[in-house]
Amino acid sequence: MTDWIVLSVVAMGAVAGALGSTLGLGGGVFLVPFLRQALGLPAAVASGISLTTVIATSSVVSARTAGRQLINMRLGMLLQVVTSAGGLAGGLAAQAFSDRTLDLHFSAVAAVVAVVMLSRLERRNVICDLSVAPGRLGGRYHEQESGGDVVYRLKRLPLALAVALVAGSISGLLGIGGGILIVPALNAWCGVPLRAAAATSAFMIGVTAVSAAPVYYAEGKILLPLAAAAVLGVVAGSHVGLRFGDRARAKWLKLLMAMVLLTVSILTLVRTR
Amino acid sequence: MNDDRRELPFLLMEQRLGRLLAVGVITSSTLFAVGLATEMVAAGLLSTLLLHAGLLVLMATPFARVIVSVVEYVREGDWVFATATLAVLAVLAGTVVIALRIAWLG
Repeated sequence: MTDWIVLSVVAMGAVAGALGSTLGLGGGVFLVPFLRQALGLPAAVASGISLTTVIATSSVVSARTAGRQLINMRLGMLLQVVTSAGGLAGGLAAQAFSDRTLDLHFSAVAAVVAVVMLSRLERRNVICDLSVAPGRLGGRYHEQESGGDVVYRLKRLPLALAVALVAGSISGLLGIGGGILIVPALNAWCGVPLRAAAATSAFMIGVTAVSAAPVYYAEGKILLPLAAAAVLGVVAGSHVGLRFGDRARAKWLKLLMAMVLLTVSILTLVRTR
Repeated sequence: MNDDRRELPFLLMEQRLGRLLAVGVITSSTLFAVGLATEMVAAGLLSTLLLHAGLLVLMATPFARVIVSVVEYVREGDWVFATATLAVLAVLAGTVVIALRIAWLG
Protein backbone atom coordinates (compact mmCIF):
# COMPACT_ATOMS: atom_id res chain seq x y z
CA MET A 1 0.00 0.00 0.00
CA THR A 2 1.89 3.01 -1.24
CA ASP A 3 1.70 6.47 0.20
CA TRP A 4 0.19 7.66 -3.05
CA ILE A 5 -2.75 5.34 -2.68
CA VAL A 6 -3.32 6.52 0.86
CA LEU A 7 -3.18 10.15 -0.26
CA SER A 8 -5.53 9.51 -3.14
CA VAL A 9 -8.03 8.06 -0.67
CA VAL A 10 -7.74 11.14 1.53
CA ALA A 11 -8.33 13.32 -1.50
CA MET A 12 -11.29 11.30 -2.68
CA GLY A 13 -12.67 11.30 0.84
CA ALA A 14 -12.46 15.08 0.87
CA VAL A 15 -14.29 15.29 -2.45
CA ALA A 16 -16.93 12.85 -1.26
CA GLY A 17 -17.34 14.70 2.02
CA ALA A 18 -17.65 18.10 0.38
CA LEU A 19 -20.08 16.86 -2.25
CA GLY A 20 -22.00 14.93 0.35
CA SER A 21 -22.54 17.78 2.76
CA THR A 22 -23.34 20.18 -0.08
CA LEU A 23 -25.89 17.88 -1.69
CA GLY A 24 -27.26 16.55 1.58
CA LEU A 25 -26.11 13.00 1.36
CA GLY A 26 -23.26 10.93 2.73
CA GLY A 27 -20.38 10.73 0.32
CA GLY A 28 -20.48 6.96 0.22
CA VAL A 29 -22.18 6.79 -3.12
CA PHE A 30 -19.15 8.49 -4.67
CA LEU A 31 -16.50 6.88 -2.51
CA VAL A 32 -17.51 3.25 -3.04
CA PRO A 33 -17.06 3.25 -6.83
CA PHE A 34 -13.71 5.00 -6.47
CA LEU A 35 -12.44 2.37 -4.04
CA ARG A 36 -13.94 -0.43 -6.07
CA GLN A 37 -13.29 0.58 -9.67
CA ALA A 38 -10.32 2.92 -9.43
CA LEU A 39 -8.41 1.11 -6.70
CA GLY A 40 -9.72 -2.35 -7.47
CA LEU A 41 -10.61 -3.22 -3.89
CA PRO A 42 -13.05 -6.07 -3.28
CA ALA A 43 -16.65 -4.89 -3.01
CA ALA A 44 -17.05 -5.68 0.68
CA VAL A 45 -13.82 -3.86 1.51
CA ALA A 46 -14.95 -0.80 -0.44
CA SER A 47 -18.24 -0.91 1.42
CA GLY A 48 -16.57 -1.41 4.78
CA ILE A 49 -14.32 1.59 4.33
CA SER A 50 -17.18 3.71 3.06
CA LEU A 51 -19.31 2.70 6.05
CA THR A 52 -16.77 4.23 8.41
CA THR A 53 -16.95 7.50 6.49
CA VAL A 54 -20.73 7.42 6.85
CA ILE A 55 -20.32 7.26 10.62
CA ALA A 56 -17.95 10.20 10.47
CA THR A 57 -20.20 12.29 8.21
CA SER A 58 -23.19 11.59 10.40
CA SER A 59 -21.35 12.61 13.56
CA VAL A 60 -19.92 15.78 12.03
CA VAL A 61 -23.17 17.00 10.51
CA SER A 62 -25.25 16.10 13.57
CA ALA A 63 -22.83 17.82 15.91
CA ARG A 64 -23.23 20.90 13.74
CA THR A 65 -27.03 20.88 13.54
CA ALA A 66 -27.78 19.75 17.10
CA GLY A 67 -29.59 22.14 19.41
CA ARG A 68 -31.72 23.80 16.76
CA GLN A 69 -34.55 21.31 17.02
CA LEU A 70 -34.09 20.67 13.31
CA ILE A 71 -33.26 17.05 14.00
CA ASN A 72 -36.48 15.19 14.69
CA MET A 73 -35.07 12.92 17.36
CA ARG A 74 -38.24 11.01 18.06
CA LEU A 75 -38.95 10.30 14.43
CA GLY A 76 -35.31 9.42 13.91
CA MET A 77 -35.25 7.00 16.81
CA LEU A 78 -38.45 5.32 15.72
CA LEU A 79 -37.28 4.87 12.14
CA GLN A 80 -33.92 3.80 13.48
CA VAL A 81 -35.45 0.61 14.84
CA VAL A 82 -36.01 -0.64 11.31
CA THR A 83 -33.01 0.98 9.66
CA SER A 84 -30.61 -0.62 12.12
CA ALA A 85 -32.29 -4.01 11.75
CA GLY A 86 -31.99 -3.63 7.99
CA GLY A 87 -28.42 -2.45 8.34
CA LEU A 88 -27.43 -5.53 10.29
CA ALA A 89 -29.12 -7.80 7.78
CA GLY A 90 -27.47 -5.97 4.89
CA GLY A 91 -24.08 -6.12 6.55
CA LEU A 92 -24.35 -9.86 7.06
CA ALA A 93 -25.56 -10.40 3.50
CA ALA A 94 -22.63 -8.42 2.15
CA GLN A 95 -20.21 -10.92 3.65
CA ALA A 96 -21.93 -13.74 1.81
CA PHE A 97 -22.54 -12.12 -1.57
CA SER A 98 -20.00 -12.24 -4.37
CA ASP A 99 -18.29 -9.13 -5.70
CA ARG A 100 -20.39 -9.39 -8.82
CA THR A 101 -23.68 -9.50 -6.90
CA LEU A 102 -22.68 -6.51 -4.80
CA ASP A 103 -21.61 -4.62 -7.92
CA LEU A 104 -24.95 -5.28 -9.57
CA HIS A 105 -26.78 -4.02 -6.49
CA PHE A 106 -24.61 -0.94 -6.40
CA SER A 107 -25.18 -0.24 -10.06
CA ALA A 108 -28.94 -0.40 -9.55
CA VAL A 109 -28.87 1.81 -6.45
CA ALA A 110 -26.59 4.36 -8.10
CA ALA A 111 -29.02 4.62 -11.00
CA VAL A 112 -31.96 5.09 -8.62
CA VAL A 113 -30.07 7.75 -6.68
CA ALA A 114 -29.24 9.57 -9.93
CA VAL A 115 -32.90 9.57 -10.93
CA VAL A 116 -33.93 10.82 -7.48
CA MET A 117 -31.39 13.62 -7.75
CA LEU A 118 -32.75 14.63 -11.11
CA SER A 119 -36.33 14.82 -9.96
CA ARG A 120 -37.40 18.23 -8.76
CA LEU A 121 -39.84 17.30 -6.03
CA GLU A 122 -39.36 19.49 -3.03
CA ARG A 123 -42.23 20.17 -0.72
CA ARG A 124 -42.06 22.95 1.80
CA ASN A 125 -44.40 21.12 4.15
CA VAL A 126 -44.43 23.78 6.83
CA ILE A 127 -47.57 24.80 8.63
CA CYS A 128 -47.39 28.46 9.58
CA ASP A 129 -50.22 28.35 12.06
CA LEU A 130 -48.25 27.80 15.25
CA SER A 131 -51.28 26.77 17.23
CA VAL A 132 -51.29 23.48 15.35
CA ALA A 133 -49.73 20.76 17.42
CA PRO A 134 -46.89 18.88 15.75
CA GLY A 135 -47.92 15.64 17.36
CA ARG A 136 -45.48 13.06 18.71
CA LEU A 137 -43.62 12.68 15.46
CA GLY A 138 -43.84 16.13 13.97
CA GLY A 139 -41.65 19.04 14.84
CA ARG A 140 -41.29 22.71 15.42
CA TYR A 141 -38.21 24.76 14.68
CA HIS A 142 -37.04 28.21 13.79
CA GLU A 143 -36.88 28.77 10.06
CA GLN A 144 -34.24 31.22 8.96
CA GLU A 145 -35.81 32.30 5.68
CA SER A 146 -39.13 33.36 7.13
CA GLY A 147 -37.59 34.45 10.39
CA GLY A 148 -40.17 32.64 12.46
CA ASP A 149 -41.05 29.32 13.96
CA VAL A 150 -42.72 26.72 11.81
CA VAL A 151 -44.54 23.52 12.56
CA TYR A 152 -44.93 20.29 10.62
CA ARG A 153 -46.74 17.04 11.16
CA LEU A 154 -45.68 13.60 10.07
CA LYS A 155 -47.86 11.79 7.58
CA ARG A 156 -47.89 8.15 6.49
CA LEU A 157 -45.70 6.67 9.18
CA PRO A 158 -45.93 3.12 7.76
CA LEU A 159 -44.48 4.39 4.48
CA ALA A 160 -41.64 6.13 6.31
CA LEU A 161 -40.89 2.90 8.14
CA ALA A 162 -40.88 0.93 4.89
CA VAL A 163 -38.47 3.33 3.22
CA ALA A 164 -36.31 3.34 6.34
CA LEU A 165 -36.08 -0.44 6.26
CA VAL A 166 -35.04 -0.47 2.60
CA ALA A 167 -32.56 2.37 3.09
CA GLY A 168 -31.04 0.66 6.12
CA SER A 169 -30.61 -2.61 4.28
CA ILE A 170 -28.97 -0.92 1.32
CA SER A 171 -26.73 0.97 3.69
CA GLY A 172 -25.50 -2.18 5.36
CA LEU A 173 -25.16 -4.03 2.07
CA LEU A 174 -23.31 -1.41 0.04
CA GLY A 175 -21.71 0.90 2.56
CA ILE A 176 -23.59 4.03 1.55
CA GLY A 177 -25.48 6.23 3.96
CA GLY A 178 -28.98 5.63 2.72
CA GLY A 179 -29.91 9.23 3.37
CA ILE A 180 -30.40 9.82 -0.32
CA LEU A 181 -33.42 7.56 -0.17
CA ILE A 182 -34.73 8.65 3.23
CA VAL A 183 -34.65 12.41 2.67
CA PRO A 184 -36.71 12.55 -0.54
CA ALA A 185 -39.21 10.06 0.87
CA LEU A 186 -39.71 11.98 4.10
CA ASN A 187 -40.02 15.23 2.19
CA ALA A 188 -42.13 14.15 -0.75
CA TRP A 189 -44.42 11.64 0.96
CA CYS A 190 -44.35 12.14 4.71
CA GLY A 191 -44.80 15.83 5.25
CA VAL A 192 -41.35 16.68 6.58
CA PRO A 193 -39.68 19.92 5.43
CA LEU A 194 -36.46 19.35 3.53
CA ARG A 195 -34.11 20.80 6.15
CA ALA A 196 -35.63 18.78 8.94
CA ALA A 197 -35.58 15.64 6.79
CA ALA A 198 -31.92 16.18 5.91
CA ALA A 199 -30.93 16.86 9.52
CA THR A 200 -32.86 13.86 10.81
CA SER A 201 -31.42 11.62 8.12
CA ALA A 202 -27.86 12.75 8.82
CA PHE A 203 -28.50 11.97 12.46
CA MET A 204 -29.80 8.50 11.65
CA ILE A 205 -27.28 7.18 9.17
CA GLY A 206 -24.49 7.02 11.75
CA VAL A 207 -26.43 4.55 13.86
CA THR A 208 -27.39 2.57 10.77
CA ALA A 209 -23.75 2.35 9.73
CA VAL A 210 -22.81 1.16 13.21
CA SER A 211 -25.36 -1.63 12.94
CA ALA A 212 -23.29 -3.07 10.10
CA ALA A 213 -19.73 -1.84 10.62
CA PRO A 214 -18.73 -4.23 13.44
CA VAL A 215 -19.54 -7.18 11.19
CA TYR A 216 -17.31 -5.79 8.43
CA TYR A 217 -14.64 -5.13 11.04
CA ALA A 218 -14.76 -8.66 12.40
CA GLU A 219 -14.47 -10.03 8.88
CA GLY A 220 -11.37 -7.92 8.34
CA LYS A 221 -13.04 -5.93 5.60
CA ILE A 222 -12.13 -2.54 6.99
CA LEU A 223 -8.58 -1.90 5.82
CA LEU A 224 -7.39 0.39 8.53
CA PRO A 225 -4.92 2.75 6.90
CA LEU A 226 -7.33 3.38 4.03
CA ALA A 227 -10.33 3.75 6.31
CA ALA A 228 -8.43 6.26 8.42
CA ALA A 229 -7.39 8.15 5.29
CA ALA A 230 -10.96 8.17 4.00
CA VAL A 231 -12.42 9.36 7.31
CA LEU A 232 -9.89 12.17 7.62
CA GLY A 233 -10.63 13.26 4.07
CA VAL A 234 -14.37 13.12 4.57
CA VAL A 235 -14.27 15.04 7.86
CA ALA A 236 -12.20 17.79 6.26
CA GLY A 237 -14.34 17.78 3.13
CA SER A 238 -17.66 17.94 4.93
CA HIS A 239 -16.52 20.91 6.99
CA VAL A 240 -15.71 22.72 3.76
CA GLY A 241 -19.04 21.64 2.33
CA LEU A 242 -20.96 22.78 5.42
CA ARG A 243 -19.39 26.19 5.27
CA PHE A 244 -19.85 26.87 1.57
CA GLY A 245 -22.66 24.44 0.97
CA ASP A 246 -25.73 26.59 1.24
CA ARG A 247 -24.84 28.78 -1.69
CA ALA A 248 -23.87 25.84 -3.80
CA ARG A 249 -27.32 24.29 -3.59
CA ALA A 250 -27.02 25.09 -7.28
CA LYS A 251 -29.15 22.94 -9.53
CA TRP A 252 -26.23 22.46 -11.86
CA LEU A 253 -24.18 20.69 -9.22
CA LYS A 254 -26.98 18.25 -8.58
CA LEU A 255 -27.37 17.70 -12.30
CA LEU A 256 -23.65 17.14 -12.76
CA MET A 257 -23.46 14.67 -9.91
CA ALA A 258 -26.51 12.82 -11.17
CA MET A 259 -24.72 12.43 -14.49
CA VAL A 260 -21.60 11.21 -12.72
CA LEU A 261 -23.64 8.65 -10.83
CA LEU A 262 -25.37 7.42 -13.97
CA THR A 263 -21.96 6.99 -15.58
CA VAL A 264 -20.72 5.14 -12.51
CA SER A 265 -23.79 2.94 -12.56
CA ILE A 266 -23.26 1.99 -16.19
CA LEU A 267 -19.53 1.52 -15.72
CA THR A 268 -20.07 -0.77 -12.76
CA LEU A 269 -22.67 -2.75 -14.68
CA VAL A 270 -20.47 -3.16 -17.73
CA ARG A 271 -17.58 -4.35 -15.62
CA THR A 272 -19.56 -7.18 -14.12
CA ARG A 273 -19.60 -9.00 -17.44
CA MET B 1 -46.33 26.95 25.92
CA ASN B 2 -46.73 23.90 28.16
CA ASP B 3 -45.42 21.81 25.28
CA ASP B 4 -42.21 23.85 25.19
CA ARG B 5 -41.47 23.44 28.88
CA ARG B 6 -41.73 19.69 28.62
CA GLU B 7 -39.49 19.79 25.59
CA LEU B 8 -36.67 21.58 27.38
CA PRO B 9 -34.93 18.47 28.73
CA PHE B 10 -34.93 17.04 25.22
CA LEU B 11 -33.47 20.18 23.77
CA LEU B 12 -30.73 19.96 26.38
CA MET B 13 -30.25 16.32 25.45
CA GLU B 14 -29.93 17.29 21.82
CA GLN B 15 -27.20 19.77 22.71
CA ARG B 16 -25.48 17.25 24.94
CA LEU B 17 -25.54 14.74 22.11
CA GLY B 18 -24.06 17.32 19.76
CA ARG B 19 -21.13 17.78 22.08
CA LEU B 20 -20.73 14.03 22.52
CA LEU B 21 -20.61 13.54 18.77
CA ALA B 22 -18.08 16.34 18.38
CA VAL B 23 -15.82 14.79 21.03
CA GLY B 24 -16.11 11.42 19.32
CA VAL B 25 -15.19 12.78 15.91
CA ILE B 26 -12.26 14.83 17.22
CA THR B 27 -10.89 11.91 19.24
CA SER B 28 -11.16 9.34 16.48
CA SER B 29 -9.83 11.78 13.89
CA THR B 30 -6.81 12.53 16.05
CA LEU B 31 -6.12 8.85 16.59
CA PHE B 32 -6.49 8.26 12.87
CA ALA B 33 -4.24 11.18 11.94
CA VAL B 34 -1.46 10.19 14.32
CA GLY B 35 -1.89 6.52 13.51
CA LEU B 36 -1.81 7.12 9.76
CA ALA B 37 1.24 9.37 9.99
CA THR B 38 3.05 6.81 12.12
CA GLU B 39 2.02 4.04 9.76
CA MET B 40 3.47 5.85 6.78
CA VAL B 41 6.73 6.67 8.52
CA ALA B 42 7.36 3.69 10.77
CA ALA B 43 4.63 1.10 10.43
CA GLY B 44 4.42 -1.21 13.37
CA LEU B 45 2.50 -2.17 16.47
CA LEU B 46 1.99 1.41 17.63
CA SER B 47 0.52 2.64 14.36
CA THR B 48 -1.75 -0.40 14.15
CA LEU B 49 -2.99 0.14 17.70
CA LEU B 50 -3.66 3.82 17.06
CA LEU B 51 -5.59 3.08 13.89
CA HIS B 52 -7.72 0.40 15.51
CA ALA B 53 -8.33 2.63 18.52
CA GLY B 54 -9.51 5.38 16.18
CA LEU B 55 -11.94 3.02 14.50
CA LEU B 56 -13.30 1.76 17.82
CA VAL B 57 -13.90 5.30 19.07
CA LEU B 58 -15.56 6.17 15.76
CA MET B 59 -17.91 3.20 16.03
CA ALA B 60 -18.55 3.80 19.71
CA THR B 61 -19.75 7.35 19.12
CA PRO B 62 -23.21 6.55 17.73
CA PHE B 63 -23.50 3.81 20.36
CA ALA B 64 -22.92 6.34 23.10
CA ARG B 65 -25.46 8.57 21.46
CA VAL B 66 -28.14 5.89 21.62
CA ILE B 67 -27.36 5.13 25.27
CA VAL B 68 -27.64 8.79 26.24
CA SER B 69 -31.00 8.92 24.48
CA VAL B 70 -32.29 5.87 26.33
CA VAL B 71 -31.29 7.35 29.67
CA GLU B 72 -32.95 10.64 28.87
CA TYR B 73 -36.22 9.16 27.66
CA VAL B 74 -36.42 6.92 30.72
CA ARG B 75 -35.69 9.85 32.99
CA GLU B 76 -38.47 11.85 31.41
CA GLY B 77 -40.86 8.93 31.60
CA ASP B 78 -41.28 8.91 27.82
CA TRP B 79 -41.80 5.17 27.67
CA VAL B 80 -42.78 4.86 24.04
CA PHE B 81 -39.53 6.32 22.83
CA ALA B 82 -37.48 4.76 25.60
CA THR B 83 -38.66 1.44 24.24
CA ALA B 84 -37.86 2.38 20.65
CA THR B 85 -34.38 3.52 21.64
CA LEU B 86 -33.87 0.35 23.67
CA ALA B 87 -34.86 -1.67 20.61
CA VAL B 88 -32.20 0.12 18.61
CA LEU B 89 -29.69 -0.53 21.36
CA ALA B 90 -30.65 -4.21 21.26
CA VAL B 91 -29.93 -4.37 17.53
CA LEU B 92 -26.58 -2.66 18.04
CA ALA B 93 -25.73 -5.02 20.87
CA GLY B 94 -26.68 -7.87 18.56
CA THR B 95 -24.26 -6.59 15.93
CA VAL B 96 -21.46 -6.50 18.46
CA VAL B 97 -22.23 -10.02 19.67
CA ILE B 98 -22.29 -11.33 16.10
CA ALA B 99 -19.05 -9.52 15.31
CA LEU B 100 -17.37 -10.96 18.39
CA ARG B 101 -18.51 -14.45 17.39
CA ILE B 102 -17.10 -13.98 13.91
CA ALA B 103 -13.81 -12.71 15.30
CA TRP B 104 -13.64 -15.53 17.85
CA LEU B 105 -14.51 -18.37 15.55
CA GLY B 106 -12.98 -16.99 12.33
